[in-house]
Amino acid sequence: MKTKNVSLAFLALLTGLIYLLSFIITIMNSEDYFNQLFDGLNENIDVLDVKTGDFYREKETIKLYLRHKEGSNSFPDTITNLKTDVRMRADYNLITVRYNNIEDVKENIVTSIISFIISIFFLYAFIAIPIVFYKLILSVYRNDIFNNRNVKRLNRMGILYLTAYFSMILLYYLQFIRIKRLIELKDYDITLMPIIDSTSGMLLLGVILFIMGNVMSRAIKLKEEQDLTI
Amino acid sequence: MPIIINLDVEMAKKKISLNELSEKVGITPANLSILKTGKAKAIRFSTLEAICKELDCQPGDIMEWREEEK
Repeated sequence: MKTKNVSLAFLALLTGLIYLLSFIITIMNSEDYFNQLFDGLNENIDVLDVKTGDFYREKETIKLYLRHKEGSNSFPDTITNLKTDVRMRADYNLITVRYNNIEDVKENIVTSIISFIISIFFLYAFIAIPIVFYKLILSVYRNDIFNNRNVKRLNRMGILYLTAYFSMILLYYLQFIRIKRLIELKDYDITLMPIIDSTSGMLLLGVILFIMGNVMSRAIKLKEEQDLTI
Repeated sequence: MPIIINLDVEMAKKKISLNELSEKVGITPANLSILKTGKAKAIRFSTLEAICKELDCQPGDIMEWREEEK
């Protein structure tokens, strides 16, 4: 039993590290949000508008997921390979642009409030998932496995994962609607699909946790029956 | 459950205590108590055989089926 407990502790620690790593990667991918924060501090960066000759202030960094209007195999752009000095055909999927959204600020107050509320849900799920997980692991570690508390924990983790998934999708969708309203590109459509695709693991995990909860609930009934067989 | 356990009646007839019977049958007094109070979900043939042997009775003397009251 001691070896089993050691391996369980090791797996729990590994899971915690992976979760932390995924958090760090998320933070690194959200670099543009931090850039926006610093932009707010350095508002004296003025950019010259070539057409009008006026200076304006860029306010926002936006990530755009793109899909070429003629399909993904059209490769409409080119990029230079410095090793061979040959230009290669390219199809941009993700670009980051700087956008001047001064006029847009007032229109976005409602969207910002909704985004803030959804972010709170996401943050709650993100913090609560490891807490519930470690309570479950601690219970298993103490050999107190088949009980209704653990069924509730599994179901709660399922709900939290689904909350995190849907709040994340909603946040991106709100941003997507806004971007579609502000930006239109010549050869590319702005799309939401890569986000839905990359986060679908959370949806799958949420549903699997519900199934696990259901399986454990049945296991408890079988155990009770076994315990009451004389 | 419509299966009624009449173990206490047979035990009283044979004037045997719960602890004594559990010792002779080879199950714990706690488990025998669960059986006696009708809380058990199932009974093994081996347990039933041992109880019948000790109390010198038939399974039907210990258990009885009654229609569930609606």
